[in-house]
Formats: sequence, C-alpha cells, structure tokens
Amino acid sequence: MIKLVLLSFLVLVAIYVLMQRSTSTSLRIAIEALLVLGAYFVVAPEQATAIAHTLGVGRGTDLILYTWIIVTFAIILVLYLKVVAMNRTVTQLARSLALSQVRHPPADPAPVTSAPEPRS
Amino acid sequence: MDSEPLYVVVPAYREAGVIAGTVAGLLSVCPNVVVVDDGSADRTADNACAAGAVVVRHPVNLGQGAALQTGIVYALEQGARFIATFDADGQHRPQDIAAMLATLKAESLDIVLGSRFLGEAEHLPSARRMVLKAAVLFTRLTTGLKVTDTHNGLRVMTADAARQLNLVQDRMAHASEMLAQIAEHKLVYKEVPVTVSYSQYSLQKGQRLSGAFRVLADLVIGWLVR
Repeated sequence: MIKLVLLSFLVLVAIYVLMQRSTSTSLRIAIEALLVLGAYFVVAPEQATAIAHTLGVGRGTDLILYTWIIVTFAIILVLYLKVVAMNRTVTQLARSLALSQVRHPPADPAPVTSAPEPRS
Repeated sequence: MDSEPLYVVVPAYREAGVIAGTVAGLLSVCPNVVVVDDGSADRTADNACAAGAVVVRHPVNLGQGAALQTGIVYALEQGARFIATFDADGQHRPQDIAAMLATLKAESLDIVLGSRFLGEAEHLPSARRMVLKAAVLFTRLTTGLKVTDTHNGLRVMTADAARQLNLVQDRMAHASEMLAQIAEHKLVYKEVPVTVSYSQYSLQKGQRLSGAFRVLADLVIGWLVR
C-alpha cells in the first residue's frame, strides 16, 4: 500500500517537473533521474540497505535520512544566498526611487528650536 | 560658488529629535548637507528638510550602509569634489570636518578617517570599548590596514575615492566593507583624531555586542554572494 502511495507521488512530481519549461533541460533530467532512483528504492528497499552496508551505515532508511539532511542544508543555504541577492536588488530599486524624489530645503530654513521634539 | 564643493552625507534612521540640531551644526561648516532618511516612520525627513538639508528618503528601511551609499551616489551626481560622512545622532563635531578636509588636501590623500581612539572618546563605556577594539583587531587581520578605529562614522574622502567604493553591505557591516575596499583599491588613507561624545541618546541608538556577531555573519554571507 505504502509503495503505491509513494510511487504515485513520485509520478506526479515527475510529470510536474516535465512541464516546467523554464527550468533548464539538464536540471530537469537530473531531477527525473533522482526520481527514478527514488522509485527504484521504493520498489526494492533492500537495494538501499545493500548500498548502506557498503558505506558502513546500518539500514537503507538511515542512509536516505542522512543524505536528506545534507541535501536540506544545501537547499537552505542556496535559498538564503538567493534572498541576500534579492535584497541587493531591492536596495538598488529603493535607491533609484529615492534619488528620483529628492526633497530640497525651503529657501529660508526655519530656525532650529532648542527644545527637542518628543520621540515617537 | 565653490569650485570644489564638499557634500556631507548624514545617514539617519528615526532621528527626528536630534536631526535638526545636527543639520544646523553642519550647515555652519558646509552648505551642502544631504540627509538620507532610511525609511523612518517619524518626522526625521521633515525636520531635516526644515533645518536646511537636502533629503533623500528610502521608501523602506534598508540599513545604514545602504543609506551611506545612496548619499554618496547623490553627492557624486551633484558634482561633489569631496564627500564627508557624518552620524546623525550628534556624536561628532562639525568642526572636525574642516580639519579633516584640510589634511586630505594638504597631503593629497584619498580618504581621511576619524578615530576616537587617537582622539577623545568621551563617556565611552568599557563594554563598548571592548567590542570596538575587537573590530579593530578583526580588520587588521582581514585587511592588513593599521587603523585604530574601524567604526567611526566621520570620514572625508575625494570624489575619486567615493567612486571606487561600492557598499553592498546594507546593514552595519558596511564599516568593515569600506575598509576592505580601501585596502583592495589601495586608497591612500590617514586616520586623524576626532572627538566622539557619547550622550545617553547616542548610546541608546548604538550597536550592542550582539550586533557584532550579526556583522560577522553578514560579512561571511557577503563573501559567498560576491
């Protein structure tokens, strides 16, 4: 039963990735290959365990868990760097907007009152 | 009128209570005062403008580094020959600018940096002093610059030097970034003593120790994105 659920999910993802015309072909092929690998481990989980043993890991599920943790951290880092790059774009936009709306002082600047205003 | 105009750039965020006094003090030494309001919700921009400063206002809060860079870009657009940076909270003395500009011209320097540790740091708490000293050590290790005060907002530079600076660190890491770019472009710099007076107000506005770690993280991320 669980195999059926997992496999149908993988198929849905595979179809979705195939439809992403904007993603580069090589990236789509790589993702599809990963999905096929995942489907293979769903059908034959003992193969994952065999690979895990050769790497010194007890069970196939543990190996997949460890890999998943590493991949997750890599994804977080990549996304964070994208956020930083996006912030720089926002800064450039805000800067050009600010520089297009410069306010000049009145011809006769008001005398400075000695009493500071209450801070909001 | 002035063939070699000096522009003073003042980054300001939520400084409505003190900005007018700072602007008035600056106007007594230089006619071109540019306040960059970093998206304050209070009357910082209005008060600065009423006091006689040109106001460039970020539509959203971006950080002090972004405000400095905006002000520098504006000053260059206006044909500035020299550009000074000055903190909005009133911790610097306007008359130090004139002395720094004289040094800049007399010794053909690219940039003159204010140092509170060569000069006087009035009422500087010891915890703040330690953080600043740690920043100095960090800068010496990473850039090789022999500066004594890395986080002083008072600087005077030539337009040529300003053109070579490109601050992309929007928040507080811009001070380290500026020094790194001074080293990278081999700008000729000199530190001069300036007086920094710490009021209750400026201490409240200033950076805490946790800010130092934020700066370190920002610098590391900056290296990755570059």
